[in-house]
Amino acid sequence: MSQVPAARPLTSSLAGRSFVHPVVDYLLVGGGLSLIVIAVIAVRGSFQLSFSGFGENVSLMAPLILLTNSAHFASSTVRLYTKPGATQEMPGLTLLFPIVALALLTLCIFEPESLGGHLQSLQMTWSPFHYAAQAYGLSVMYSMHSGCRLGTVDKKLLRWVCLLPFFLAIIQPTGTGIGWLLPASFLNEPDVTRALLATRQIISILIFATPLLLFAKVWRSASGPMPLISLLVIVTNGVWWAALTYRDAFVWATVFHGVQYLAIVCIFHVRDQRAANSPHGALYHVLRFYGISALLGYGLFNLLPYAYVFAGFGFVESMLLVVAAINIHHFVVDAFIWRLSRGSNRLIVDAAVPLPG
Amino acid sequence: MQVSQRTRTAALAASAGLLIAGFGLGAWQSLSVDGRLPRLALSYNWWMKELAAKGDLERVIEQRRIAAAIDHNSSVPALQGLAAALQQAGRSEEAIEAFERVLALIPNSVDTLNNYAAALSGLGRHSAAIAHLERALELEPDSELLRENLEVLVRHRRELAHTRLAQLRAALEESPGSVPIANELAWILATHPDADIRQPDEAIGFAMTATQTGGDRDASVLDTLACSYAAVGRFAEALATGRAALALAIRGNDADLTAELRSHVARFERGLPVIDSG
Repeated sequence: MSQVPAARPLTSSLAGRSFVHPVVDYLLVGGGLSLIVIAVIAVRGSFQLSFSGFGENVSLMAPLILLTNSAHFASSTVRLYTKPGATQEMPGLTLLFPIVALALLTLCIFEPESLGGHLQSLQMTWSPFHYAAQAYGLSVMYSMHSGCRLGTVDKKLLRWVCLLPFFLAIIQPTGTGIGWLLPASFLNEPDVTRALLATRQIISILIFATPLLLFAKVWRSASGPMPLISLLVIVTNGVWWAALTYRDAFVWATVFHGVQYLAIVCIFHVRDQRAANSPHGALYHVLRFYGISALLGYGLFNLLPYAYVFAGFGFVESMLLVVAAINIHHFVVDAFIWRLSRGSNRLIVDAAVPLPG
Repeated sequence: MQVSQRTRTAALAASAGLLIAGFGLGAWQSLSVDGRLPRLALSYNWWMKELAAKGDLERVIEQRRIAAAIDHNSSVPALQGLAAALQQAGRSEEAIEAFERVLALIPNSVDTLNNYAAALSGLGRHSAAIAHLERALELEPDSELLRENLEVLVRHRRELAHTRLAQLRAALEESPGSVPIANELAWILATHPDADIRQPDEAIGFAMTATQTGGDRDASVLDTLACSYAAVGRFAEALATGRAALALAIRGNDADLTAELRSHVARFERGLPVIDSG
């Protein structure tokens, strides 16, 4: 059983414990890099945060998406199947789910305008929830890793705070979230429109206010302060969804969510390999893991749609629905492979918590 | 759940096999059609452009329609693409529907209003087209293109009205008792959006002719007379005649006409004439 530190210097508690190096952890996993990039883009204004802006930079954006977003989606699958004993522990997820997912995808491509539309809506509704869950998981992970044992109530509050950007994202008039689940005639009622607008404004404020309030509350509790990176992760996810337009959020959030994810998954992969007494160094494992993920990402996002084109389907439905299916597969896999309560994840998070001074 | 090693191996092999086969077929398809591996692209727009370049407009429309149904992330560009493709194919009614869906999402899009006006004009709905161009001009008052388009449309509508009036007058000389001809003449002269086309006093004369030659049992004809009265400010007579027309429409179970006449009566009650915005 790991020991909880008794009294640590305040600066050390606030800085927290990094997995690699504070700069790497704060910039990549914490999302600091995304805040810097978004601020630079917003100030310069030369690189519009819109699709038309991206249209002029296709040559830069497409490889960026492959190297971050596509690779990150594939990396959860790579992690799942490189985790020792995964097929024994999770036979449904590892053995059955891929075939079911492929069959469902094919069915949706057969009926793109009815079933396909729902698959896309499900993916777009689930995405912000997935990001919120990742923000929560990373925040708890860094707190635990830094010796801040959050109480049950604080964890529940933290979960709700992390879910706020998700609630903001699903209040959309068309296609996504409540726009998918509720009839447009109801949502277009003037009173409903006004109520939704007001709700969005309130949530936007809460997204930035509540993390600070929770941070202060935890600081005053027995656990002591959360590390700032735990706060940063939550704020970053809030910025992605509250400060950017919905479409921009979907592009930039996926890029930086991908960076964040790849960083943490590589850290855990290296720790897993070290625990398995691998003779290779960290760089070898990172490059190998990332390389396989990027290649698989290219295969999934770029080659697989053409297999459906080969089978006679249109490119549009093949591309859009393959992307949606990969997203949903990733969300499901992630919900299992990042459980912190047991297994090697818990060992990595708990490892080397500083002993009382 | 316990799964035997053999089952695990078989399931893994099946999944991996399907995936590898998919990748292989995808690569083969791309190489054989495009002569290269799939490009890195953020969207399907390049594919639409290639289809359009091949002149396969029907396939473009089909793919645009699917994109509009699925791609909630880019629903506006997807619908704009669909509307443009439908208009290019001469399917104006469907293009108008697509433009209306775009405008429901972005009501202040000047480009969409301009294209929508072009589609409406193509179907002869000049007044509606002009109304949308006027709205676009309110949003972008300095646009030369919008101003030119508006001037062309207004001029065209006026010319069409003059031509039609001349045809109707000639026809009425040949068939003085024709209710439809007298009714249409009266309608144009009473309700045309251009003030210099409207001749309300003359309209009343033609409308009276139409009602006195059997049109008094026709809700549309009575409505024309009511609108003619309203055009000269005789709202009490307009209201009485309009209500009689409405009663006939209700008795005839014509829902569209009833709704239209109700709106006319409402205008008379407020002391407003009817202008044909069709």
